[in-house]
Amino acid sequence: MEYFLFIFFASVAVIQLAGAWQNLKFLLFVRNRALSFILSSLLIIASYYWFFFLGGRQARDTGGDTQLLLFPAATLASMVFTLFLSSIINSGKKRRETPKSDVAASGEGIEVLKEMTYWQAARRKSPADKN
Amino acid sequence: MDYQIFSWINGLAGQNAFLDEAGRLIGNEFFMPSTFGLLLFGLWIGTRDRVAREKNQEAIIGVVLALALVTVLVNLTYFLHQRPRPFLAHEVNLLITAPTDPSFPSNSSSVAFAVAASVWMINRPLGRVLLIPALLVALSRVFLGVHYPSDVLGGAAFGFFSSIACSYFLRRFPAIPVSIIRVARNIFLA
Repeated sequence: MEYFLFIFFASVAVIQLAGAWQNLKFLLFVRNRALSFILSSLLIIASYYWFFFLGGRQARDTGGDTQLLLFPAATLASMVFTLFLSSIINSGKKRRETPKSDVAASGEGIEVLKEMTYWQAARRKSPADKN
Repeated sequence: MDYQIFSWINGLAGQNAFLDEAGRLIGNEFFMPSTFGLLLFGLWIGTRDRVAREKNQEAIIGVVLALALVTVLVNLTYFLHQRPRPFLAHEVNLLITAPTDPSFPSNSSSVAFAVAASVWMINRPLGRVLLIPALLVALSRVFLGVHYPSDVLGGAAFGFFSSIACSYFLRRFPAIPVSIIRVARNIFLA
């Protein structure tokens, strides 16, 4: 559980860092990119410090096979959490009706999150929304 | 020879508190695999240029396959041959809790080299960078007193072999990574 939490929070921070780097505005929790960089970096440092330096986990060696299951589970959970929360936080932001970039205009790929939230992109793509 | 090199490297343990802590951090089973994983996860999303991003994503698919293969190979070797850990046969400076699985090959080393080599197959500059922490992991496992040098060399060989085999497989069947990336792009995750 501790390992799951460590990877979960570190992954959320990595997604925010990557989103800020790529300028995926609708993926970010914080509008200001510089602030997003700082907060994400702090969250990564805090996650590492908590997991490795509190409780003597750096001296443990108990067989790494559980990592094979917990790492993908935690990163997947962090992705779902980020997409859900960023869609709620940014739902008030005006979605760009005419996408600025050609890539975003194609309506696929993570670049879409420069122009709209994940929820808006998913709805735009779903057949129910088109009808 | 194997034991002599082990004694020399492990003999440095317990003499400097900072070196011991650094060894424990780098060589513990969670730190490097998690760091590699988070780095690759960041590259999956965060590469700006689409062509470069898809190249990195292909490398990451190769890493996942290589990790699966190396895990099977390592566990198969454990099943066939159980080499005792150095601390069971000799007096050593043991800096972490005693692992219970066999000594050969080093699991940490095989994972670290499988990741570095798989990335190197597709992204040479990044692969070269990742080889440095992989080497540090191998060295630290001997320093910590849980592996002989031949264990970490064996682990590195397992890692290289797995990444070469998976790279060959993906080159023979390029539709596999292309399809995975296409599906991920369709749901806005790549």
